Amino acid sequence: MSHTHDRRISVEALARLEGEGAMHVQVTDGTVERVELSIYEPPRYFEALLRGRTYLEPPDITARICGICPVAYQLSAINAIESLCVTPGSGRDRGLQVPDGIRQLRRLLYCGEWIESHVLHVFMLHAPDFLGYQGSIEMAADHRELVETALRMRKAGNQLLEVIGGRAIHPINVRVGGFHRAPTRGELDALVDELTWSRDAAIETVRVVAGFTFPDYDQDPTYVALRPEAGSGPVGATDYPLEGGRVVSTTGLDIPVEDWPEHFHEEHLPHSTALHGRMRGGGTYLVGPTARFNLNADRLPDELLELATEVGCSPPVTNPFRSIVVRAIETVYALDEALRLIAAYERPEVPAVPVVAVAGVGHGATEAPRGILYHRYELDADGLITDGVIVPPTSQNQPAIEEDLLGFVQSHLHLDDERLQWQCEQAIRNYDPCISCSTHFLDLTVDRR
Amino acid sequence: MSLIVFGVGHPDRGDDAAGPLVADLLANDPHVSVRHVTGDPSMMLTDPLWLPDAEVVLVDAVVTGTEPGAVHAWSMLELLVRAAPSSGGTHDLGITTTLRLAEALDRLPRSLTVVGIEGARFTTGSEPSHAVLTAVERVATTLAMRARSSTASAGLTRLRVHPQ
Repeated sequence: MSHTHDRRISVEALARLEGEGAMHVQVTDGTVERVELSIYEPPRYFEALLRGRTYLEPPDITARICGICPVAYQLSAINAIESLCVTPGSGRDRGLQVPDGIRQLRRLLYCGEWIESHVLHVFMLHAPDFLGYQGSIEMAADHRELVETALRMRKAGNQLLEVIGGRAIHPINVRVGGFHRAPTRGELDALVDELTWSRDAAIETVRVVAGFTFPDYDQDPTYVALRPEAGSGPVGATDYPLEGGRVVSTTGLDIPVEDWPEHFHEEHLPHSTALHGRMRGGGTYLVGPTARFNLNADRLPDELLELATEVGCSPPVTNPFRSIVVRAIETVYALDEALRLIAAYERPEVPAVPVVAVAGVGHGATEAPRGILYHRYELDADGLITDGVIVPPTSQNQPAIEEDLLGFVQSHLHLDDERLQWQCEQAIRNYDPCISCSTHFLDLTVDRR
Repeated sequence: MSLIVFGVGHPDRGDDAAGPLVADLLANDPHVSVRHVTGDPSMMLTDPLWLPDAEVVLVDAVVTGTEPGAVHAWSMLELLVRAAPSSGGTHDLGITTTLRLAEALDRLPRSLTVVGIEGARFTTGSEPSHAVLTAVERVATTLAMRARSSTASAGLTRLRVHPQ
């Protein structure tokens, strides 16, 4: 069959991803020799922009990196900066402590972002692949209830972001030390009905997406995720990773975030303006919902774990196409967690604690919807930033996505060009890549010689 | 049923504030209901005001290459013909994708007009240009008149003007 040896497949633009770029697949004599995600979006130099700014500015500046996960940027920045801050008179030399109410609000804000981002990807970007539609608009004509459900669930997430963050995109209420204003109990209670409706809809969504047909493909990458100390969250919280934790992997790594640079690094490759994340020693790794689930499923509430088991989604999940099921499970978690936190919420006496910074290097990481987002800042004695490093999840996943695609194409060369192209795009969407974050996406060329 | 005006845009990005400013000017008009849309436009479809029997006007800043402050008015059909198809590859769904989605869901209001105010500068933190502020007042005045009129689309047609 000639198409298994010498063929060329080109896609002008891959849809339902954030950003622009190209993918090149070279097949010679029936062997996939090379897969490159060619990211040509210009770099945006946020790290350079931060130099000379004060320690109070990273949450607002870095939130601008991404329109769908600004909370991740804000809270990773805050974790790093607050590790170098104290409240005057506290007797501590570094490491800011904030009241439980502020910690509750931060986790609750993050739940809003997970809900909004996961629902967008599960329903609008990824589900059309499984149901055989070009996009959500075509899907809407035949699956109206599905799309209406998605819109309503996204609104529930957006409302959380608006009430706590001040607005849904690029929240403005977050600051080092807490918030500019803490919402009242009444403002949060007003969200409960829609969050409850959305939680029930999310449970049904898990059952729906688990019934999709998944391509037969398994992988065995190194998964990396955060894992918080049990019971370390604010009152009302459970222990699935969101706004902090230790860095753990399926290969036995278990380190504090401060040790990140000793174990991970980024490199520049000619075909991409996004840096590629690797483990020291050269290995690729994956972050994101599947990594979180595989490393933290025991931290899910029992009833959610039972739901996962009921639909056949038990850890370890090794078929990347099943990531849509994991995202749906995490959506239920985020909605449940939001309801728990609202029930336990005690409005802090002050929305933020006083802070001063000390010179040094601070590290922070949180679980963005797409995976670990790491920040490092170096501050001088005046509290000015002398160096900043931001490692977004898509940069970390890029080499592993290329490896995954290489394996997938190799094992699916029997497919005709149209089907192979469709499933390659679907495979990339398994990772919900955000090229805005990593610096945008995609022409696909398969060159079969 | 009052006229529903969605002011689309960011209030702190120069001429992008055109939509929210029109909504602000109409906020106290008893014949008009207004909303600001600063985030994902698809969330308009979940707004209680987005109803099948509503008369909806979306006001947004646009860049078509005409002079700053020029005012354009498009029907739903005209907009979809003119607008480039969305790749769908973005974090929000955009105005045209939102309207196509509304069409697919059979959720279009009975009357929908998009009013575009030509902008020139969109720098974060900048003020709207004089030309756009003048257009904002003209659009708000016309929409207020339209809200009191029983003649369908007469006022909106007059919006298609360019600055002298």
